[in-house]
Amino acid sequence: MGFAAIIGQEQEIQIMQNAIREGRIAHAYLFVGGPGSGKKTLARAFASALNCLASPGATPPDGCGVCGSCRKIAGGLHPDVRMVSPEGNALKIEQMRLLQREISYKPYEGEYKVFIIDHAETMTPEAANSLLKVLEDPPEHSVIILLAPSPHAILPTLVSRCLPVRLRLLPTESVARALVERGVDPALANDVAPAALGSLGRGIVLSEGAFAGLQEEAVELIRGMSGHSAAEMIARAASLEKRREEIGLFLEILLSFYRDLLLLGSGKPGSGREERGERLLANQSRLDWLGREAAGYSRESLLFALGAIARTRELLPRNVNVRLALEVLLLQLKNCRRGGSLFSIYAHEEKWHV
Amino acid sequence: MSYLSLYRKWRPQTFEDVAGQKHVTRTLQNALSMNRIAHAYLFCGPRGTGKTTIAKLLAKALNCENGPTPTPCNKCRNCVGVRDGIAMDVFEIDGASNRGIDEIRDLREKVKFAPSEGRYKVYIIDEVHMLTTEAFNALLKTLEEPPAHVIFIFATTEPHKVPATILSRCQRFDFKRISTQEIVDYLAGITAKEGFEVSREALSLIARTAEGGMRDALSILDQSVSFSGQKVAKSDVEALLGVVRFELLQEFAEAMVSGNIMEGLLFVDRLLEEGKDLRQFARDMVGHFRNLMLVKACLEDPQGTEPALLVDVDAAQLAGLKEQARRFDFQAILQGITALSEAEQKIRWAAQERLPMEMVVVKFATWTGSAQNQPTLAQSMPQTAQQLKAKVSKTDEAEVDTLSTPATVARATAGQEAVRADEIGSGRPDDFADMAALWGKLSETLRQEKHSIQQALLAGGRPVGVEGDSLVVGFGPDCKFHMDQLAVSANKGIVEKAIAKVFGKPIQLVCKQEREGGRERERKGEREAAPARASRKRSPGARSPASDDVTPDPAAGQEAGQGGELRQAAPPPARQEQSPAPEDDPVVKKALEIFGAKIVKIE
Repeated sequence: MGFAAIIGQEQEIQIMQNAIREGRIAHAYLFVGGPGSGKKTLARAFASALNCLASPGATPPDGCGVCGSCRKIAGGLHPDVRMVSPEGNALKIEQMRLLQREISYKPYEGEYKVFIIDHAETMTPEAANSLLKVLEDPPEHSVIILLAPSPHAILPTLVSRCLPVRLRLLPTESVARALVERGVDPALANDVAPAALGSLGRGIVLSEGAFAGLQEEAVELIRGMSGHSAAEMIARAASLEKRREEIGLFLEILLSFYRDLLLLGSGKPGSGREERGERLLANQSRLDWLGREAAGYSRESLLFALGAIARTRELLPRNVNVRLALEVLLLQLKNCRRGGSLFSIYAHEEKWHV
Repeated sequence: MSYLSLYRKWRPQTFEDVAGQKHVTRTLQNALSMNRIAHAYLFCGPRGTGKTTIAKLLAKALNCENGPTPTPCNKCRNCVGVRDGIAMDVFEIDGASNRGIDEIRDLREKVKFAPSEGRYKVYIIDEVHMLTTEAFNALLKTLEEPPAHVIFIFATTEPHKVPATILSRCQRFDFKRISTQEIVDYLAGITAKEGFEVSREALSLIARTAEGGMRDALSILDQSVSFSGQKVAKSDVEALLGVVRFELLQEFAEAMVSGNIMEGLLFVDRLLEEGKDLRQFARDMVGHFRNLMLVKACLEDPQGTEPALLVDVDAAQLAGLKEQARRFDFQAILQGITALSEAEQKIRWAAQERLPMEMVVVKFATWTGSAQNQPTLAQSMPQTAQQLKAKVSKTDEAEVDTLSTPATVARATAGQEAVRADEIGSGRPDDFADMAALWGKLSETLRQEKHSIQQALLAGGRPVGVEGDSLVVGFGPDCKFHMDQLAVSANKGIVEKAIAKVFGKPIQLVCKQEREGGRERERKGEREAAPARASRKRSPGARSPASDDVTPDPAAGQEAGQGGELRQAAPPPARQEQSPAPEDDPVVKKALEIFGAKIVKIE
């Protein structure tokens, strides 16, 4: 698995290849990109290219994929290429200590010792600080690669010791193609790809299991905003609460629908721009319905709704009463719909604190 | 020797080489030459400002064969040993990894032995803030009176995490961020020695991005060279850093302030496609708006202060800023700063990076749009009617249902509504657009004259019609307070003045009570009460009388126009006075709606 296994990211691949060709291999890299953007693949490909036995000095530098070294790296068995992943929820200081010890030994069979630290954003403060020194002055022939979703999620003193490489979002078509290559049903892949908003990782999560059903549920919920009674909303919250592991995904789907409603309600017809703007929408297959639905909302109320969903998403991992949070959210969303408000007899008090 | 990062390769080896910390190097050099060396130093300051570097230099100066000297020779065994990190008497300890009490106990044990090669044993403890409380306390005694041959140097980015008892035993040096100019000069020196061709603008961009940290600056330089070879232009650095060019910042500010939503949304999309860091972009935008604010302040300064004094940009950019600052008002600029800083915070946690920025775009349009959209109200009328028509004719049965409980009536009214929608769609837009526009203008006039109380009171009602020289405004039962307040002569006078201004002739204000929820409304008044209610539902919040807030009013206006006479809104029907059916009571209705219940008659 060489650089060819990576989808897109031409410029980033070139940076890495240039580094090898010119012998300017930094001691530490930070690969930044959303889930599924190809950080891990790029890190492995880089390690392969550094350690490939068959084609040292190949142009462009790349792993051959067939020699012992490349195969071991692909299988995660290479003694000099280590992947460090969080234990439980976090990367702990013990793991970093172990890394520091191992990195001080010479490479066992390859040219370089490569340490790939996955989910570097989960490092505990102690772990991150303990990495500072080794990251500043690692032994020769060693490369440390940190993988993280954003440079802001990491201790700034760590970032300044690394060469950051930022991976890009993928075009929707690439996401769809990559999903199909991974065995996702083409129809589903096409449905999911726009909702992935450029992240293959998101696409993979979305294409798994519950997505289609939850999307249907979200549609039904939004459709019923004006009609359903408050009691029904509360019942829905209760049913959702029972499926804890799906709540996150459901909220994301809701978020994408409300975002679309906002964008649809914001386009100015007749200026010829809406065609270009249409591809910004996440739920392409339901445009007609969304267009009709959008008429039922003012912009302020949609901004409020989006804020409310995002807030709920942030609250859920923080040990709140999940059911209450969902109830409040659904009632708030109901309130945002014209004609759906529970408090229409007090309508003049209604304000949107956007 | 394999390739070394620039920041490791070019670590300064003499006090003179250190950039931007004159106050530290001077003090230390003087202390060295006067032989007044403290036993413990604490170096604190932001990352990449030279703490570790100076600690190593100090170790070198103390142990140099010609020392202690302010100018270590860099040739003797001890100097070379420190440089290569192999000196026996210089202990570089990583405080973050060796943070426990056991490590400190170990250190205390060894401290007492005399140095083996040099004069002093130098303990450099980096990241000292990570020591545990126990470790700090175990160190206190040693730190207070260490053996004569021991020097401690602590380095940290976070001095506030170091206990006060430690702080008071050290000589503290605060390192400053290195100025952009100093970084540029230093980088220029290195590029010359390395044989890179890096343009001055590129260096200055690197220096600004580094925010005062030399290590950051050298990392970026290193990366730029990896990226584009020995020759580096400004555009290469921009591409590498994901920095957004000034013109693009300007363009986005333009889209935001002018309320051009689509332009703004597409812009955000483009940034993402190009792999830009949106959080960085939000920060850059805050910087841009700040510059606008400063430039505008200068432009409006009677003394004519030169903006270049406050804003650190080149001449072309300054011209661009001036041009934009002239057109934007302060309020928009300040709102921009607030909204963007908020978005910057949110992006970090957002599931969809782009959403906070997109929301800024739309939010801004609703703010700025409220004033600008007023004139386009009439133009947008046919379209709103279309939407209304679409909404109603899709038989949003459910919605109608909430208005009148019995299903039969619901179906009947739904039919009626469809008819009404047709009327609106094909009807005479001019008639009602006129009324709606005047009503909107009235509200706007009140606002502009700072009579927002009266505006709010008036917003509780809807125009019913004009009769002779009086304007009849209807108020629902839930807005009785508004009506009563408007009857107070002070309020009435203000509103009438505004009416005269809008209508061009003196017109009296007549407030009428409308009844909602009566059976009469369902039978006959439904057609006007429904939109009226809808309009109130979206009664303008203090800041956004946006176009769609007033849209349903035209429907009412149209009816007034069509009828050509004053429509007495829901005259009290005879039946209602006797005994209203329980399900018609608005409170009961609401209860039914909320609990989805049925009314059961109990005999």
